[in-house]
Amino acid sequence: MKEYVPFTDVRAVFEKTGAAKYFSHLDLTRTVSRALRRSRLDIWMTEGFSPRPHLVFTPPLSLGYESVCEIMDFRLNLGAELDKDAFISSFPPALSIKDVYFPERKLKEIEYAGYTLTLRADKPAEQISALFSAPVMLLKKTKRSEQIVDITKFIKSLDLSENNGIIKMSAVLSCSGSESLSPAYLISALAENGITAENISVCRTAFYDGTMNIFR
Amino acid sequence: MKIDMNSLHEMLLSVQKPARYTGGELFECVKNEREVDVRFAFCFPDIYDIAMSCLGYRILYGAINEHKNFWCERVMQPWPDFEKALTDNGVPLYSLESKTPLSEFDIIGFTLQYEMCYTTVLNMLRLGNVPLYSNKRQGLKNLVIAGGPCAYNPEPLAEFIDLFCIGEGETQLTELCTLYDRAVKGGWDKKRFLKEAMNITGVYAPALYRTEYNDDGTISAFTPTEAGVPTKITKRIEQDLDSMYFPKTQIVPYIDVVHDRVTIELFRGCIRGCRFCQAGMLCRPLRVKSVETLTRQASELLECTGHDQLSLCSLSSSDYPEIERLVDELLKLTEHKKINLSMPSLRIDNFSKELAEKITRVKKSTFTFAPEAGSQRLRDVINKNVTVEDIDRSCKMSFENGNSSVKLYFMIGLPTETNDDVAAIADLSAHVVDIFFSVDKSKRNRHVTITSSASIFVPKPFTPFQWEAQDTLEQVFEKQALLKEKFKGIKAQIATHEPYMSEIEAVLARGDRRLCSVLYEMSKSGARLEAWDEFFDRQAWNAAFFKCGVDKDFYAHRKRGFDEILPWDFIDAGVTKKYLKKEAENAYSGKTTRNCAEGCTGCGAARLTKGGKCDEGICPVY
Ligand code: SF4
Repeated sequence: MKEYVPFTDVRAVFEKTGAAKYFSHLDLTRTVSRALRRSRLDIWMTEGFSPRPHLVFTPPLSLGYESVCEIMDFRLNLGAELDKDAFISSFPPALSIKDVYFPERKLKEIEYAGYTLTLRADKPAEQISALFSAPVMLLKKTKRSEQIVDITKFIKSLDLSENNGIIKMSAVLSCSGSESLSPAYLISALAENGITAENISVCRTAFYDGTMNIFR
Repeated sequence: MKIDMNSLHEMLLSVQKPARYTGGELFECVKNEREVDVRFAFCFPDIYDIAMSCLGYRILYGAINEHKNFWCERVMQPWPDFEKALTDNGVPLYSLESKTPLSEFDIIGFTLQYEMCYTTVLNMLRLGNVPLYSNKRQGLKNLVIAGGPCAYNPEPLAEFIDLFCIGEGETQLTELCTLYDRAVKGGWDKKRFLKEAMNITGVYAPALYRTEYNDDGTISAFTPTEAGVPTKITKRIEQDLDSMYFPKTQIVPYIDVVHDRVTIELFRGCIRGCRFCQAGMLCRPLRVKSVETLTRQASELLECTGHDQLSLCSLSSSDYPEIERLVDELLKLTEHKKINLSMPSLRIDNFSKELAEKITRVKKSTFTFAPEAGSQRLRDVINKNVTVEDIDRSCKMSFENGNSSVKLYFMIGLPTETNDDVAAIADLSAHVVDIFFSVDKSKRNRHVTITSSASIFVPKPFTPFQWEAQDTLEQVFEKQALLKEKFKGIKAQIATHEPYMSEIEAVLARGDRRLCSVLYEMSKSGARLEAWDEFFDRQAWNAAFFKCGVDKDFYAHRKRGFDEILPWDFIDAGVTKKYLKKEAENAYSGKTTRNCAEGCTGCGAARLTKGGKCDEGICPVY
């Protein structure tokens, strides 16, 4: 029987920007594991031939998306000190740490994620607003099924503004274990409805709980 | 003009592993371009994944960047998907650190790790809009230089490269950058700079030499075209490995690269003297790093990178004089942090049970052995001093240690090889299977996988076999067929390889300046990344040879006479031609030569050290 080693949960909020936009979730996991080794914190490791830190992340971002609010949970051996400076300085600039603390809630309590999409389109912002105020039927894929659904039921809120031809869409989308929508569907909705968008950039800005409070 | 990363966004999203092209990793070196005098593009003629695994690349990147006024950046050959995206969008090849186009660099330096990268060198210049031929680059801007193991026969690239840096680059490269800075500030023309550069040991400017040929195609003379230019170029070595530059950090890639780990180099040189092995001869004289230096360097790199693998690298690591003490010290660093310690180049004959246990203590790994030849006769010819008893002992030990996977490396086409020698490869493999089953069931695994690989011998410059003919394609096919026949009914696999690439490798390895036109044709046809099977195009090579009127058999399959002028004869690589000749004769008479630890055999390389001898410890009986 494996000996039970007690631990403390730690949570860190970090950005994924610049070069980090272009690596996969697997690469993120490896990069974070190395950063944890560098930090010299007394990390709780899994047992076995290749011991690893125990890492849990918020849902992976698509390649090319930025984020300023990613969350990772890891474990310290019980009683180990959390040297925040050592922790923060061990991360590369593209994954800069914004906050590190002992969590009180589970990641499962996340219900929504906020995104900012900026783009140029061949139609005005009003037309895009109008598009999403009625049902938008799209083929949606999940791990288990493929179904044509009305994606607007996963849109909690959507605000549009236009400045010098650049359209900014601020969207809050479902992001829970049972219901979630990637901002990629908003972009395909545009294409499906004859709106050509260019220079698209996507940034995840915040996570919310069920009552729309910022998740911490 | 720097390339704006945002403008590459769509391109990056359309390719595999875009993080190969973004830079921005931990410990990349970024400087202010206005505060540096010399901008150096360090080009690796293969993809990111390979480049970032290369120890030499890491060392020299650090060595140049140590100097405040030089800035060395990385440039690599993109994978074809991104290469196409670049050319389709008219974006030139750029550096990872500052995204500066290749053509804006002062010095463009290539590392030549294997012959099959030559077409990639030219392709990268093309992608970077840099003229290929050195006589088309008039000024000092875009000075193209090259170094690395293949620079020991620089001639096939002579018309493209302004300066070759022969030997070890830690000090040499910074001397060259310093001189370059002086030349630019002093307004020198290119010729004056090339001449002055040749005062730096190991630096060779091909434009200052001329080759003449006999009617039969052999070289009749190789002479300087200018007064005051040396007729012999002596390779550069570092005298003291403990005080020699070694990086304190190393770039930590975001993506998984081939060797994602910390690597330390135990010593330079090799005591063994295998007659086919170019590295073993080129790296002499023997110089050792102390256990203290190695432990410190490993510890620094492990701490700053967070890597969980440490690898010991040298031609034959178990020959390190204090290997047991070194492994003990390193285990102190790695064991409690659960870092995996690996030692890729163990010799069959001298690793002890204790050592084997120590390195398997952390993580089990496949054991690889390289007997190189199947029969004892042929092993004596190549001076691979390994006996069946050595093989028995070490295989048994490794099976008892729980290993159930062994890889055996052989070569076919070695000088004097007969069909019996080829058949002996199968016999030896079968023998290893028997050893496995002879181990007590309770001590070993239930199953065993034994894979033998038979690669094709490529004669290389600066080895006792530099005069040999490579087997023709027909000879190779016959031997491969024989091997497959002999492996029937044996519980071991045999892997053979297509001989076409080895043939081109043989041509380039011992080529002369007449191959420049062939390489140019190849690059026009779009050749690059040819070390990758899928991009090697033998039809294109045949067409290029034909168009240029170059006979590949002359280079690959011709036996040279001892007194022929060889294209690389003007380079003094330490080991003397006289010694190589003597070793070739020993090979023909099946006489082995003792290793340096048993006593120096006077290869000549020790001349290059300050004290005139190889490091004690490795070579006690000088
Ligand atoms: S000089 Fe002697 S000891 Fe040194 S590498 Fe040559 S043969 Fe070995």
